[in-house]
Amino acid sequence: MEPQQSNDISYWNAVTLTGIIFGLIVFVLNIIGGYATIGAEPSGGWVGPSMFTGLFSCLLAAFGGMVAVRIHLKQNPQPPLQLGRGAMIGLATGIVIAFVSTVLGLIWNIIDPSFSQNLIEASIANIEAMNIPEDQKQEMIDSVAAQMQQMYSVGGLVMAFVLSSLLYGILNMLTGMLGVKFYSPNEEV
Amino acid sequence: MVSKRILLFIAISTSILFLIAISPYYFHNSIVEWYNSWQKLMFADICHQKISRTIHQNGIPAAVCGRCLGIYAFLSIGFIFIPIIKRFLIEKFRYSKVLLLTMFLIIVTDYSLQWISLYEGSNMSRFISGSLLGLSTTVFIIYHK
Repeated sequence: MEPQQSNDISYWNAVTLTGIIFGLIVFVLNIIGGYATIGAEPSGGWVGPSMFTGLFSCLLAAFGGMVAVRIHLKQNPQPPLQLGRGAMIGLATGIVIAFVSTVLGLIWNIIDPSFSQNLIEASIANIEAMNIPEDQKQEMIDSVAAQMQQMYSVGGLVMAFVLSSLLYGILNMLTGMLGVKFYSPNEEV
Repeated sequence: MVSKRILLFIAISTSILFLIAISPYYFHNSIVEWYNSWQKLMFADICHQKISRTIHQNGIPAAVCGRCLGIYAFLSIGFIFIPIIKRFLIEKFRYSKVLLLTMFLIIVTDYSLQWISLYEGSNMSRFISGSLLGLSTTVFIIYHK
């Protein structure tokens, strides 16, 4: 029997494992950021504490594709791995990360139903402290309240999943290709 | 060598990201609209989106900071033009890995120095440092063997 090449073996093992781990990290950091926003004094700034944890989690999650390629090659060390295959591994990893973090976010809203309401109130308090004209402030508050309420509806969650799948998918596709270049030097066309 | 289909797919994907990043210029009329836009929301987890560090057009900021905009712009441009350059002008480039790591170090240093307030760069300097990283990434993916 001929040994299987890396390109014939299913990559879903590596994709699922990496997607779940990175999805969990994104979710945990986003929740920490959310509670930091709720607990913080309204500063009136355009950038809140959740943005920094979110930034860190997503920068990390963008490298999920590279890690998935590494795991796939560790499990199936026979080179060469096609570049397109690396891109597919990255794309799939990005979508799994988006799915896991969205589902966990949904579950968290069942565990702590006051979370989204407190987050909306904290965001509104921050806007009220902003140094902008009163009419703009009111428009912003109305819009933020509507947007955040929609964010935790079914339609809002689907929209969030689509947007994060697009972003994580493309970024992880690139890092998946970088992973092939770094870890499988004899990659095929 | 990278297959044409993959390059086309990546070029389209990165162009979509870039177009979404600049779309607030064309779809929003005020900072309030921008603040609540889906474009801002989409990139909120990957970019700090500080208004002072974002390139504006007619008073409206892009959905990402100047550095990220440079990365997306030149990933997109790179995946369109580098394959043509490789085919017709420079067939081999041996230093793509060194180039990528150097650009990565430059951007990390630039970001860190600004973070600890050692110097204040301009939006243009952020855009240029981002574009160098975006371009070197495409050069690495296309040329590295």
